[in-house]
Parts: sequence; structure tokens; C-alpha cells
Amino acid sequence: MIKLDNICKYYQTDRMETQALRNIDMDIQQGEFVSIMGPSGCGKSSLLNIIGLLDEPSEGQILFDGEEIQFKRDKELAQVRNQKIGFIFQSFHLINDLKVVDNVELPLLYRKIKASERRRMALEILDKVGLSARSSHFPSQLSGGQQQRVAVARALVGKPALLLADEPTGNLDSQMGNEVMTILENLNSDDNTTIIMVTHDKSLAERTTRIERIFDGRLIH
Amino acid sequence: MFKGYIYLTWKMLLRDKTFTAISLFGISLTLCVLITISAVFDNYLFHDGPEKTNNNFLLVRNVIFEAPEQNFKSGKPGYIFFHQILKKLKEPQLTSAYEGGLKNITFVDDKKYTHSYCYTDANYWKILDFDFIHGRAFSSMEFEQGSKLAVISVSTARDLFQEEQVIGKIIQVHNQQYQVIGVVKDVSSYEPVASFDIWVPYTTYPSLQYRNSFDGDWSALLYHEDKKKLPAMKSEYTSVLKNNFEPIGPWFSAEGIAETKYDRLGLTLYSSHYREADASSFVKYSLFYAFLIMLLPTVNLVNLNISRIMERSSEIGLRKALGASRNQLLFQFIVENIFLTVIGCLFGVLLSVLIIDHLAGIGFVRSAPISFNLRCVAYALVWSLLFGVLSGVLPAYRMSRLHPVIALKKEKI
Ligand SMILES: Nc1ncnc2c1ncn2[C@@H]1O[C@H](COP(=O)(O)OP(=O)(O)OP(=O)(O)O)[C@@H](O)[C@H]1O
Ligand SMILES: [Mg+2]
Repeated sequence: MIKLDNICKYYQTDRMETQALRNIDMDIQQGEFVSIMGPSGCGKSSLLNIIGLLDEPSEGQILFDGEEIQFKRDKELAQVRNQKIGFIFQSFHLINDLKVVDNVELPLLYRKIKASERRRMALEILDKVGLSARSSHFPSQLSGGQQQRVAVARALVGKPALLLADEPTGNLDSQMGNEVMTILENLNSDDNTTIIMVTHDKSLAERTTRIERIFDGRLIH
Repeated sequence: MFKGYIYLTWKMLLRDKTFTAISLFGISLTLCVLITISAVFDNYLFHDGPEKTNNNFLLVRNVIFEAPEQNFKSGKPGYIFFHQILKKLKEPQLTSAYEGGLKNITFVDDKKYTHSYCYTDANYWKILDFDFIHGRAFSSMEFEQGSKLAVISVSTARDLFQEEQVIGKIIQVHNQQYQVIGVVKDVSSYEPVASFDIWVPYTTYPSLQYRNSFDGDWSALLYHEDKKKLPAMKSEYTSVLKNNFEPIGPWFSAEGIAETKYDRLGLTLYSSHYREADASSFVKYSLFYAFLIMLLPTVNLVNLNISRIMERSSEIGLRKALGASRNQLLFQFIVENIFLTVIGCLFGVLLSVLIIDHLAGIGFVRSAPISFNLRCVAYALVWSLLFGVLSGVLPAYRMSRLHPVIALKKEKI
């Protein structure tokens, strides 16, 4: 479903140019659970951001379901992100002023869905991650693991075909990380959702269907 | 979605109370000034009584007469001036003269009533749009014949007769008896050309002395049904005074303007010197100043808003990742800002009601009180919307273009 074709990413800073990604080719099929590993600073997040259409590659192109992505068209880009992609971040990124259920509803705000239907969908997905009892709490009232499960629910509520997770368990202890990982595994096997996950944890990576390693901006095989 | 934005804004405002207080203070003060200015303008320019025709007439109420050796007299013109100069103007369709503000004292059952009365002609009723409850105005014929007929306001009728239907009854004005032929609705004092209690034909003056005086206590109206003709009327009057003035008595020249409603506002607020030829420009300047007044707090609010971007950048990054387009974010932040200004507007309205009340109390504006009316609420809304958009667009634009990856790197939401 995703094809990366010779992706390069340079960051231009004051005096020097950082080559974060060099000539990345990658082909990811529907239903794969890919983990991306590599040392710090090797370009994992940069790659994930480009796959998530949050950042534009310096060179190369991305095909999404066979179509080339035009990074200049903000509205279309936003639509693809909204309908096809779900994000999970290392540091949860929940809006503290909103209740759990309102946080989960956020992606649906950018679709034409009635408020009552949004609420129903959010509650349903919260049930799936085992947090239906917490729906009217505020994020600050939850544990880290619970917060990340809210973030997972938010990523899933729009039923995206692709889930991107940048170190989703990085801020969690191993037990809570395991809970989140189990949700992702079930999602992959039950709903056939494609997942790309960046992780430093070898044992988690081994539970996925494919491991990609990056070193210094290059894929190594 | 809309409700969600408002809710989030509300939370935001509560979270950063200092920011909120400073913003709201600035906004409400600015809006208060603007609303007060609007109220003053409104009270002068828009009427719903007889002077609602004020787009169609000019008022002549002050002339500077000059005599040799730098003697001059500034004041209202007299009957001769009206007859020899104003009546001969070619541009106006109708001219009318009146002498108003005279006091008539009546005792009814030992109670003393003071009513203002006005000597005028038949055209006065055609130029101004009085609302007759009973009866009618006096006609040109009755005016020419010097018929002793009177139009009175409804509260005068109640004062004198304890009822409103008083057609045919006799009243005493300046020691003469007049028959009431019309009762009109009361006129608010915002409309000084029309706000009297009793009107009688000036052909019923007790003596004919008034016909000999060049200066006096008269005002005149120059009317045209097409308001586009007002500038022509105005310049004809000015040029007649300048070029065709025939010396009369000690006066060898005269100067003055026929005032539009804007002139009247400008002269009242700004200067009584009729040598300031075009007082309308004052009104334009005032609008310009209103704009300047708004500019400073706008810049201020823009700044505050931009510094708030930094605080919220991770929310922006998140929303982008979840699929918000730039335009949707732009919309969100403008809505937020308008919400903020509307709250500020509420305070501004309260503040300006107090200020307007106070200004009216101390007589800040000569010769006409100001008041807060429903239209002022409308002005307040328009101003705050304008202000909200002006101060919101730039920060919102900048926010909406933040790079999502960079925005997301900020930890706090
Ligand atoms: N906005 C940026 N400007 C300049 N350089 C950047 C920027 N973002 C990333 N880099 C550089 O690009 C390289 C790759 O960064 P990236 O964040 O992709 O690494 P990573 O593999 O995710 O590391 P980590 O495991 O620590 O999260 C690094 O050398 C980093 O310094
Ligand atoms: Mg990273």
C-alpha cells in the first residue's frame, strides 16, 4: 500500500547540512506489521514523519495506494492523514483541557460526522482499549499507560488503514508497554491494519512481522 | 465542531488568567472607546423623529456679519436675511425659517408649566416629517393670512388639558390666543430643529418689528428632495454670501455655511467658528481616529496571540497530524479570537453605558445629550467582529502554517 522511492531527507542548519535519510526504498503491503529499529539519530522519526505525510522528502517520492503524494496540496494531504493514517506518539500528545472521550473524537472533527455518531464511535473504541470507564476523566487523571491507550484509541477511531507509532512504548514501563503492544498486535491480526512502529525494544520488534534497520540514514539488510 | 472550539477557548482563557485579563482589558477598553464614539455619532446623525429627513436639508443658524473697523457680529440671522438672501436661492426646492426656543408659561390649576414654542412657516411642516396624532399642520394660506392656529406636542396637550384629543381648543401663547389644529408626537431633544412643544405661524407675531431686523434669532432650513443636490445648495449659499451680498445697515459683508448633518456634528464637537469652512471633514477625521484607536490594541493583541502560538504549537501539530487542514486551523483560531473579543465586547458595552451616562450627565456634548440605544449594541457587535478578525487573522495565519513536525516537538499541549 505504500511505496517509498529513493527518499532522501536533508536538514539545512546554520553551517552544516544533515543527511537524515539517504536513498530509502521501501515497499509495505497491506496488513504488515513493520518495526523500524536503529540507533538514536539514525533517521527513524524522519522516515516515519515522511510516511505520515507530516514532512516533505527532499528527494524521491511516495506512492500511497499507487498514487503519488503531492506535498504542495495541503487540503488533500490533510484529508489523507485524516482518513487513512493514525498516529501514536511517544509523548501521548493528549489535550489536557479535553476529556478523554473528546480527545478520542478529535480526528472525527475533521470529517463530516454528526456529534452523536462521533460520540458513539469514540465510546466504542474506548471500550476496545479497555477504558470505557474513564471516558469522562481528564488525561491528567490517568496513568501513563492509560494515557497512551487513549492516544491509541484516538489513532484508531477513524479506522485508518495505516497506523504509525513512533516509540509508542518509549515512555512506559515494560508492563504498560506490553499492554499497548498487545492492542497493536490484535489490531493487526483482527482488522488487518497496517502498522509501522519505531522502537528501541528488541523484544517488541521481534513480535512484529518484519524488522527494518536503519543506520546513518540508510536501510541495512 | 464550533461548540468544541468555543469550549476549548473557554478552557484556554481560564488556564492562562494573566493573559486573559490583559487581553480582555485591552479589548474592552478599545471597544468601549469605539462604542462611545459611535453613540455620539449615532445620536447626531440618525433620527427617527421629524429630523429623519436630515439627509435632505441644510440648516442655516449662524452668520458672521462684518462691519467696518473690524467690527463683527456672529449670531443667528434675522428676518431680512432670510427674506432677501435665503428665499432668493435657486437650488433649494423649499426654504423655511423658524424662531425656536421661546418660553411660554401657563398655569393650570395653580401648576406652572413651561413650554417651548416656535414661530415658523408652512414649509417647516413639509421639510420635517412630524408624526401627527390628531389634526394637521397650518397651510401656506393660513400662514399668509396670519391665522392664529397652533400645533402642539402630545405631552403639552396632556399638560394643558389632561387629554390628547384637543383639536379646536384654545391655548394662550405669548398673550395671544391660538386654536389647536394639530397634535404631534413628542420630539426628542436629540433633534434640536424640531424639538419644541408648541408651533405657531410667525405671521402672528404680536408686532411687525421682526420684519425690520437683519440679524435676529432665526434659523432656516434649505430643502431638496434629492439629497445629491445638497452640495450644490451649500455652495450656492456660500457663494451668494461671498459675491452677491448687498451691504445692509452697518454690515458690509457676511460669511457662513449652510450645515449638513455632518457639519452640525463636526461644529458641535469641534468648533463654533464658522470660518472652519468644512466641518464634514471632522467626521471623516473622527473615523480615521477611531481606526487609529483600534490599531494600537490590535497590534497588541496580535502580539499576545503570537506569543500564545508557542504555547499551543504542539496542539497545532497534533491537529495537523490528525487531519486538520490549514484553513480549518485558520478558522478555529479566528473563531477563538472572535469569541475573546465578544467577551471583551460585553465588558466594553457595560463600560461605555457607564461612560455615556456620565458624559450625558456632565453635558459633555453641547446642546444635545447622548444616550445608549439598541443601535449602539449593533455598533458594538460590528466593532468587536471587525476587531476580532483584524487581530486574529495574522496570528491565526501564522499558526496554521506551523510545520507539524516542529510543532509536535514541543512537549506541552
Ligand atoms: N528539524 C531538524 N533540523 C535539523 N536536523 C534535524 C531535524 N530533525 C532531525 N534532525 C537530524 O536528523 C537526524 C535524524 O533525526 P531523527 O529524529 O529522525 O532520528 P531518530 O532516529 O528518530 O532518533 P531517536 O531514536 O533519538 O528518536 C539527526 O541527526 C537529527 O539531528
Ligand atoms: Mg525519533
